[in-house]
Amino acid sequence: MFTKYRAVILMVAITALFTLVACATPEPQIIEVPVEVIKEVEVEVMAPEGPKEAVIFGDLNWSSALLQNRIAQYIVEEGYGYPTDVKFGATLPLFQGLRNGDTDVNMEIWLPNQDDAWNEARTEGAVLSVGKSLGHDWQSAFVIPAYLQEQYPELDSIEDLRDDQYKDLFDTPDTGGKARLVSCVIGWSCETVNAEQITAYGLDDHVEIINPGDGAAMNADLYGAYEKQEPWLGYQWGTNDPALKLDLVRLEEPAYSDECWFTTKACAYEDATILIAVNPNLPGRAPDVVEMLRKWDFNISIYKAVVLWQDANPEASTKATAIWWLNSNPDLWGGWVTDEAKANVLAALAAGETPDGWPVE
Amino acid sequence: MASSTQGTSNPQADETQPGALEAGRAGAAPPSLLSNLRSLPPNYKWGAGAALVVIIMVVCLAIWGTGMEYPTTVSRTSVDTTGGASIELERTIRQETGSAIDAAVRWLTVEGSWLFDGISTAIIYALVYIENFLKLIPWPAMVVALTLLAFAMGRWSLAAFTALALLYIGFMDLWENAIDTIALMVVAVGVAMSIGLPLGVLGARNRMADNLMRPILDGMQTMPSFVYLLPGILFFGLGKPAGIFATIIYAVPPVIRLTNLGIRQVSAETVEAARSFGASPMQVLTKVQIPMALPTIMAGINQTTMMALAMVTIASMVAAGGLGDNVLRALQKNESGNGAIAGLAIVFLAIVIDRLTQSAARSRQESMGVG
Repeated sequence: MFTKYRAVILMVAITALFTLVACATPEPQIIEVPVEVIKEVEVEVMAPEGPKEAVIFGDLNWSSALLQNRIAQYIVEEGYGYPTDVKFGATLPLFQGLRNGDTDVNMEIWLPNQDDAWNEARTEGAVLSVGKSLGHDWQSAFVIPAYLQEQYPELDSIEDLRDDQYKDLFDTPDTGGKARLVSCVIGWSCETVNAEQITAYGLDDHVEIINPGDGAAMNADLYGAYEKQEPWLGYQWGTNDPALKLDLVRLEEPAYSDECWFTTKACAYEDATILIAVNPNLPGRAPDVVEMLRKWDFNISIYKAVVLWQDANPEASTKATAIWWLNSNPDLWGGWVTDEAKANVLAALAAGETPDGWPVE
Repeated sequence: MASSTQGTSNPQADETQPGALEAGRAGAAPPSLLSNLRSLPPNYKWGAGAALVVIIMVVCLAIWGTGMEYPTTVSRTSVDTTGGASIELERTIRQETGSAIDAAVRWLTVEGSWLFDGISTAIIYALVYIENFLKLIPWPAMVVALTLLAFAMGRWSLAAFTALALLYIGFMDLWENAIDTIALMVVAVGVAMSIGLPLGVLGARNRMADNLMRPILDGMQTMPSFVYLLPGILFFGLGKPAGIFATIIYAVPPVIRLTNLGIRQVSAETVEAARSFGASPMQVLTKVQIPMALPTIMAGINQTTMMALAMVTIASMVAAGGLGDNVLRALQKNESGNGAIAGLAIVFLAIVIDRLTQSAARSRQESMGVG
């Protein structure tokens, strides 16, 4: 009885669905505004006329970038009225996406880590830098857990690994009697740099480098050792989750200098710069958003406070954290946005609204 | 085959099922919704199904509205913000479940460390031994040896391919990493066989064990590797043991499934004949069932080997080394060329191993007069 018409009903339903989807997709409208105007000169930025096109954030796969995206999305969508969306991915694919215009905003471009890709895209004019995020004040370094240093107070410098007593702490069956050092992710520039540093310190006979293929894997190794309170030696950087959550101690290294860095690398890392980058078409169609990103100042001390709060409230998702932070710090983000946008965001917060562009977690 | 007819259910068979009819008509036991539905003629069955869907939709809309906000929240806590307002943090069923699993993994990490450390040490010694042995031999010597072996076992085309594939790996400077990959594969396949063959036999002989194992094997093959990779790192730490752990989880199902299938395929008459000649169950298994199932079992081992090679890149994620490192590095640096070179090396390795083991199996079967 129904079987006779099932195919017909299905066809009609599918056609109707496609028609609806097709009608709902708006026509793209790009308004050309010279990029230099936005970049070089301080101007009073007006929102463009007409329908606002979606601003797409590259959802880099680490915590600080995800949180910055949620906060920025909230402000852009609730404050400035642009639809937002995200594309989830890893560093390089997302950077490529930013160049191609698949995404509009990348909240964390790490330099010098991404120097090569960045400089190339920058000279081609395929990306624009509009400001800094997280500030300058993090360090890449070799670390050990604090509980280990309490046990061995003398172990405080990378040079101490020459001492058999300390080297044996990190010895495992597959390292052939050397200290196991968990270095950086395969293919990241820190992989090569760390290896060069170890060689430059003359530690090749004392240290065996292990390179994980993934950031999460690297963190898991540290978390596992920390859970068991076992000795652990490896590479971390300031804004990485374990560095913010666990009690880690840096091993002393000779201070950074240009001469040493560009020759032997027998010294510590330089402090890094983290940039916000946008696709060159964004200033044309969302100049007010670009202006906001220029004033963006989500620095490391803000982020550390956020991580502490997250530790105390483990049930808080990244979205809940973003809402908590926006509610708690209107004075901070209020300085980055226009008065009108600030009022909009505050109203949205009071009404408990969330952006439509937030991805499902 | 016995297993296939029992598993499937077609409407006709359900309809004439005596239990369902009795429950529906005689009313001896209170008729359940399901048995009622089963006893309906096919046309009404569709109608009843559609009606059920509509009822559920209406109920959902009535209770949770168009927003469909289903009650997934377990608890709510209010947290004050320094801005004056307070926000409500929801604890959902998913978060609750997730943290329960986290706690279990954490407990296992600490309490099971003696076991994992033991396994890890054993695996590392086996690997280091194999790697060191294979690396002692200069690669041109290895190429010649394997080419001769291929020639002895198969046709000249196999020998030619073996030579070209191995020369490619050698001249692309990938030999050392290829050795690491082979050692990883050998140990993983060895462990997979020692787990998989007994489990396959068990599944073939015991229906309950089979029913229990099948969904678990499905899970092992479909679960995204990263899901068990992270606990694997917590247990074993970064390194080869974690890579082997992940490889085994992905690669062990074929050998279990095909051993199971192979033994089931041995005809009941043959088994009966062996029994009537006074063979003990153990003798039936080792002298009749396993030899006759050998082609299928070998196919299972072959599949396991191929899948172990397919996990090379995933294993590199946990610092297991090998050719996967080259692939990963190329991907991270956006070097398609290097990625393709290392990827091809893995493919060549797989083809060579596949063809060599297959010819070995074939010549063995021929000499045994099976297959």
